[in-house]
Amino acid sequence: MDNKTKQYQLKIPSQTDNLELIRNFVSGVAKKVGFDANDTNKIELAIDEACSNVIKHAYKHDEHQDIDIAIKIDYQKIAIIVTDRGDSFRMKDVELPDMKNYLAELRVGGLGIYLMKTLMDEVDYKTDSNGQNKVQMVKYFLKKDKEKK
Amino acid sequence: MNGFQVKRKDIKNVSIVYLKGYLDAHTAPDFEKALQELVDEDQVRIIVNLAELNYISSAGLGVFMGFIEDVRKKGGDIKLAELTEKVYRVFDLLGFPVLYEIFKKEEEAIKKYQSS
Repeated sequence: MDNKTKQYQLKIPSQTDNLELIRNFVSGVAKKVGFDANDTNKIELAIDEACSNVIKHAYKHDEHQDIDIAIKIDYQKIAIIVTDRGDSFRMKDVELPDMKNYLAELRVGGLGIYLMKTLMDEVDYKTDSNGQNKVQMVKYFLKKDKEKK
Repeated sequence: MNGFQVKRKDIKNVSIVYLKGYLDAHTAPDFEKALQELVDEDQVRIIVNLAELNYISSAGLGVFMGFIEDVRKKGGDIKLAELTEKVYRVFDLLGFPVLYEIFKKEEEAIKKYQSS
């Protein structure tokens, strides 16, 4: 394999009826570059959760805004970067639920970031100096430490 | 787009909700409406048949969580049947099988209601 990076991009209006297109785009690329069905399904769900959060929380259902999705592939991994220009949040302030308590207390909502972190190998969130929020999610082709246990 | 359908069938006092297609933040309100109708009618012995559901996100899972308390308070339940492996994996990832009874076949879920 060479060290070249391949890039794919999609700019799409921030509307829930575009989630299907977004999933198809990202899972199509994941499948094409060699992820198996199980990993492709995980990537598909993670991008849905990331974009659903943007639509609901960053843009508050303002359908005139755009979501930018960039996919970068190198020999090790797929990196998916979701960019929005809406309200930012501090990911470290988001409390990840303890699923046992979550279910016992019959809570609703707040599962998106938990799922993204569970499904992907790395999830990183930052707001740059131009006010752009970027979520980067990474999945490696080869599992390293995670499956050695 | 027509990626999602909800249908309902009542067998005596058990209501079966059939979901088809994908259940995400766009389609979750349709499922929510169907469950709300059942709760409003006090039809709370509910089975959700997921044989033809090929995708679920947390927005869809949130609908199940949003109704389970009301339904159980009214003496009913939401039981799940005929999940595909892909959809089951998402439920399982979040530990939902602890909270919801899952059946391989719809008939088994109906029998469970009839015997209780």
